[in-house]
Amino acid sequence: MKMLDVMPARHPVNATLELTLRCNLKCKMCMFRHSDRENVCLAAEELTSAQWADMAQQLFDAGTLNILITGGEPLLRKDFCEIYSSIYRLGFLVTLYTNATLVTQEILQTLRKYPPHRIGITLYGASNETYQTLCGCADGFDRALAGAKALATLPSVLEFRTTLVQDNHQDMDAIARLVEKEFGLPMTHANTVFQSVRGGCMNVADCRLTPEQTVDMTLTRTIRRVRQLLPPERREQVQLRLADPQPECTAQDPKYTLLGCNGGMNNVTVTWDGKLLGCQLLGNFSTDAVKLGFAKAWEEWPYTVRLPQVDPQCSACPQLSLCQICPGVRMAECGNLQDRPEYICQITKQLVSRKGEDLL
Amino acid sequence: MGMMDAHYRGREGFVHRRVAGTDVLISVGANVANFNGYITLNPTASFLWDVLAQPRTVGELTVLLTEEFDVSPEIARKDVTLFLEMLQRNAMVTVYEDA
Repeated sequence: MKMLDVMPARHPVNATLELTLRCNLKCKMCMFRHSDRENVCLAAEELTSAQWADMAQQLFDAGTLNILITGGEPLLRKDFCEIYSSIYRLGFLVTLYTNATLVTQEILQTLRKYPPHRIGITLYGASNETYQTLCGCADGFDRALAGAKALATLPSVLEFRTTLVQDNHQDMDAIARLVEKEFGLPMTHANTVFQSVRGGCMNVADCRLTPEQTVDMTLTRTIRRVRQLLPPERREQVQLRLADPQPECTAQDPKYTLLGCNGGMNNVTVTWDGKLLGCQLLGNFSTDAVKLGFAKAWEEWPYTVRLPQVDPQCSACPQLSLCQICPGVRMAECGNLQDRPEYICQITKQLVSRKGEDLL
Repeated sequence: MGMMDAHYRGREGFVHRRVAGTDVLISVGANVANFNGYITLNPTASFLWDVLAQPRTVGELTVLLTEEFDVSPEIARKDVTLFLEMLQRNAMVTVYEDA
């Protein structure tokens, strides 16, 4: 394959370990959520704790530095503590993503013994009502807040994030105030909510924000964050305008990468059932990290990538630099790797219409 | 008793690894939030950290460094002293004054 000859060396520095697809919450906008009816089958095919320990050793040997432990909800696994400890003890920079609703004493003790370097907590609302409506969990907010407070006693760096959709975007300010008040931290939110991937069952299109709302939310929060970071005397002097991003050297050039990003170059995902993916969103291209072993699966993965010509409207689009399009997003939105995703296109058009506007 | 007589040993809670051709020291204990959780080591620091698995004096470390690298005893001693000071500042080394 010619492309492989001109590509820079690939190193699996950043690994995402998807311990499970299962989750105790039923968020309407989850990209990965499967029907509860599938839980028994899903659980049966999940890698065992011994397999995860072995996989972690193989990642260690392959030179992985950063490990993201995620799901589904990773704390849902009954053997979470065993899996987590075996990974952590090897010596990685460990990030844990969780909804914080399942933090038991046993889990807290394990995390205290082996504190993650970073914990990303997702809050979906600022009340039990919102959690009930959005996540199907009547006491979700109380549990998440209690869990987050427990996790805040660890020496780990904490990050709070949320995903805004129709059912909770009215909570945005309340969530941000809560995180600031309780933890003295800022909150980030996912800029765009994509449709389900890899067999996920949720109908995300019905609950997500419109392109106009998405851009408004993104700009509002960005402006607020910039204001917070500026010293008060400078807030009136600074002008903030949306501009075209500086082109990145080779990171977005498919000539030098496989997916137009770091996916499969320095980033790798090992899924709940042992598949190796270049990107967690994109199940089309995979090798079997259990059968082949990680090193071989990583080596062979590039040969699975086959990207078709995309819609000419996309490839010739002058606004490509402001667009979030990538193979993973195209697959999520269109169910294939060539069509133009209307929702993403509308968001880009909204962004373009705001270019040059004084935002501060 | 001064710095030259004391014995030093690297503390637990760090894993020395080689990642993509670079030596790094990963913090895996209560220090996880410090220095972003890891430190990049140059070849001499990497060597010194490994030999600090046993209690060592400045003199011993200096000799070991000159045996491993093409460096004069004067420069080696200066490097060892600076490295130990850095480790002490970051609570990465245990000092035994009477070992």
